[in-house]
Amino acid sequence: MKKKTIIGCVCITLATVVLLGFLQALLVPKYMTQSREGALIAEYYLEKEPDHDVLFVGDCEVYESFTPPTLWEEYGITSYIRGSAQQLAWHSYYLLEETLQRETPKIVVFNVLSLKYGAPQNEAYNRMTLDGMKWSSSKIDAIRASMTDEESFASYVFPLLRFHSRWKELGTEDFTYLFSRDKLSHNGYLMQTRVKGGKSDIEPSPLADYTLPETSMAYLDKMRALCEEKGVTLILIKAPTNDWKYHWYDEWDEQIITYAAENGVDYYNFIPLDDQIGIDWQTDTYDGGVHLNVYGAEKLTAYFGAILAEKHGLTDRSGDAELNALWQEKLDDYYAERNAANE
Amino acid sequence: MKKIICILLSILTLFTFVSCGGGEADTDAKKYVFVSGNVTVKLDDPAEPILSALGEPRQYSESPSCAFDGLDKVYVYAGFKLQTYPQNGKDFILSVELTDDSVATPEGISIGAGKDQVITAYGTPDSETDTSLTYKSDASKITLQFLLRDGKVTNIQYQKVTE
Repeated sequence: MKKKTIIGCVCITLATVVLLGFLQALLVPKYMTQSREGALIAEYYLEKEPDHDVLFVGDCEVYESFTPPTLWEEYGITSYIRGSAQQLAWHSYYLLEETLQRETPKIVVFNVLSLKYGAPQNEAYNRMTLDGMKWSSSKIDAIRASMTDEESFASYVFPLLRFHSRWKELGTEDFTYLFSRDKLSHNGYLMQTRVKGGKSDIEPSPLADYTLPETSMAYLDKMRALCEEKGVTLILIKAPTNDWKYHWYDEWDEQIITYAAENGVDYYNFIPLDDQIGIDWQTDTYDGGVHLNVYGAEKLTAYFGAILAEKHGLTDRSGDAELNALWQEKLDDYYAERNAANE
Repeated sequence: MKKIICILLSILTLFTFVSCGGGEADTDAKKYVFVSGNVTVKLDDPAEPILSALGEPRQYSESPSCAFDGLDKVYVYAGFKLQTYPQNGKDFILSVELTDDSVATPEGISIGAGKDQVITAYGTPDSETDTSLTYKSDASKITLQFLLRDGKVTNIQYQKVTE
């Protein structure tokens, strides 16, 4: 009788775990056809023996503005973008911490726009960065630093607690990608081939206080210290896009210039360099000047690649046969998607 | 066997029907409403009837979010600017910004007014700095902010507090 009870309990437990595991796999967002940005963070783990010269961290202004295949093709520089939608400074720090456990790039590039946020903003964006991270002490710390008031740590451990009500929204994608996902990015670059030219001339709203928040600046400093400890050069950048909604104020720029000068960090603000880079706002943006499309991103990457090679001494590794073969595959995938858009 | 099925169904029910909700009524809503002519602009209201009533804007622009469908939109009218946000295929009012002294708040404050006039009209602010007076409605999650320079109002913003 006792043996029967134990077996019954084990069966119930196993069945429950399997059922809950299945439900979780079914109900979590897949990010394959909608909000594809949500798939980017997890894709990094597909890299076999990651070894990149340059690692980008930051928000949409990194994964929409730089194309690793171009950096390889034109300069023989290997790179990966660990970017995600509205990636905040603490997300970037913990992603960097986690990535530096896996590889040691020569240069880390951080886009400064997210420094304007001093507090967690939005649960949906948190999910797009945090759910894709593999479990580690960095992920635990990232969740703790990122949660909005309405979120719970348990919901990150068991996403089913958060997404149980998604059964009403289930679509074909949820069944197609129940147990596996497609690879969407090119080393973290999410390609946009559409063209929607133009650039708004609407004035951004003035602010009561232009001081960049202490919290985000503290995480920038943690990134700087971490890079220093690991012997990695940190470079700060601001992508050339400057919309009324995602505006980079001159007052913020001055603070970053000061921070960079005081800490011996290079900072490149590409906003005033758009002509020099060759960006044509009629053809190089897919959403009226908010983000670059692939044509704009290739121009910016080519421009930045020259800086990385000439000023920061990154050498051309295209002579390495093994690397060449690996990147040829990546270039083939890249051009297949790019050219498909033109057919 | 029946017991096992009951336990599994209970667990499923627990995960399926847990929900959150709630909210409290705004008791101080009037302060956070802008009026242009005979058009009342209330934050979080559907944008379509308000935009129709306001007529053709002087300038218009739209901006996509980084990852989600829908567009944030901005409409520029004489003296003020209105922003909308998308939700479930419809646009709602996100913010109103008064940009020159040709318009005033319903309480009679326009750009150029003194800090004291604001406090007389609106009472003690919820927060105050050298460059701003801010009034907050926790219930409706709206702020009304008066930007100041040398004790004079330079900009007025009704804003929905986003997460």
